[in-house]
Amino acid sequence: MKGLLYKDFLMAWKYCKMYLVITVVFLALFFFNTDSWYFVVYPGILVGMIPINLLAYDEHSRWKIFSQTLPYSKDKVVSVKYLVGLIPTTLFTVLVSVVYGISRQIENRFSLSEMGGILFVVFFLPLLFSAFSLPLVFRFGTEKGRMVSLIGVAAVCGFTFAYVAFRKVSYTISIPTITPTIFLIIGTIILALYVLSWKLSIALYQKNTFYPDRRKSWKEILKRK
Amino acid sequence: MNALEIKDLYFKNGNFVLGELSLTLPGGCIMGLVGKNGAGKTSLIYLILDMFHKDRGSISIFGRKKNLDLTKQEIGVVLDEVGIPQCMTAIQVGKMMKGIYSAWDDTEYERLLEKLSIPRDIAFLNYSRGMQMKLGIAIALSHGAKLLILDEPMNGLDPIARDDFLSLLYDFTRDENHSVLISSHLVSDLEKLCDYIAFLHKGNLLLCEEKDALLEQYGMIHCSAEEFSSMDPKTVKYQRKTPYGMDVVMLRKDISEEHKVSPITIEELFVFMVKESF
Repeated sequence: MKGLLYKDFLMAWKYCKMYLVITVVFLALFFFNTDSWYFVVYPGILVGMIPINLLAYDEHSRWKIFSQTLPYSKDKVVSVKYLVGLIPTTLFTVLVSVVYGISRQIENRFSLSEMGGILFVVFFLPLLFSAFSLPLVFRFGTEKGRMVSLIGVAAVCGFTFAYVAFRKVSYTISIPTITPTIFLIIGTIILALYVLSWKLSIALYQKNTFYPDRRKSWKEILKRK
Repeated sequence: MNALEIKDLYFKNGNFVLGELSLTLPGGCIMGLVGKNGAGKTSLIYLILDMFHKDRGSISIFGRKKNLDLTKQEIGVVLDEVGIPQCMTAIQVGKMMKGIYSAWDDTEYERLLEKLSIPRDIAFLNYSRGMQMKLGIAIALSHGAKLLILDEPMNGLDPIARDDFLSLLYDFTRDENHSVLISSHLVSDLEKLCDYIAFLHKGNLLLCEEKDALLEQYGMIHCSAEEFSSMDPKTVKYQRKTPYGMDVVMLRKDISEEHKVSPITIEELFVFMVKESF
């Protein structure tokens, strides 16, 4: 899998440099305003989108087809994309914790529980996005898959906005009110979804062919061999 | 040992049906897969590589039907679209392939880049189609493959590059354990290169035979319409009208001594067979 990882990280470096610039700018802004989560959530989502963008480039260059001729099982080809999602997200989470830690120490108002909350969102939100999007992309291709996942994200954001507007509740959540147990439960659920999504994508990739007519139904794909 | 054995292969996709077909590629031989566009050449190659799921039949490579992922270490593949990420240079491709193939040979890859005049530091995106094909060929030949599977590899190659490519294939097949399955509609190139010829048409295998045996078996005579009408129709394999009379393809053993026999090329035989099968 070393060769595939080398290829994907090289492509991420070449095609997603702008994300790096945005991440640096937003982290700088976050350093001066650690109360605004937006500065870390937005680049976090961008980092979460890297595997989907790489899949789009793979499709465009016909690597998606050529990779099937290589001595790899199809699950490895899929797994690389999940790893490519996981590794930058982890690195980004570490960066956010460093920036938050330094900034709050300087301001002398460091809060471990708030940092836990921020890191939780920064780490799990991109994973949740990938868990939702990647099977759709493996099933429908990047064009349609991206569209479906963006509609999904827009729907969730729209619903949240409408809920906040109508109920007139605050945008900010008081972190101390969320207990570690709730964090643990939600984190476990998201991780389980990520693993399930991984398995589903493998099943989709193994049973799909490049001929649209031969695409299996969801029922067939989920059916055990 | 046979490099490739296909038995009773059947694959259906919508209106397209491939097979049932059986063919064998003996070790150390080159087989040309000939067919017009849409005949099923690429589908057959994808089935061999397990990129499509067959409906029936069996495919074995080097006698192995399972563990194709391991067997692929010994197969070099060039598809009609090479499929290398567009941002990568030849050097980066070499580094990537080193992590993919256990027997990747840097020295051989470097030698091929040099021999085929492939630029090392230019992104794949900026290569001409011929250059992209050459890089695909260099990759396929740099990891100790025993079987090459090439899908229309000569598309887009200029005559000089095509000649370089053919000489690389000749070098490759000097080793008696090396085999090649190559598809093309440029039958004249395959005619020079191949030991075996397989004709595919509308998903059916019209013929799969040793090239020399084919050329020895079949002959063509040019005659008038009157002469043609006096022939035994059972002995006529294929025929066509020309402005000067008739071209008739027959088995050489059925041609009477009074007719002058012209040798038939594989390309002519293929055209006759395809037109006849309509």
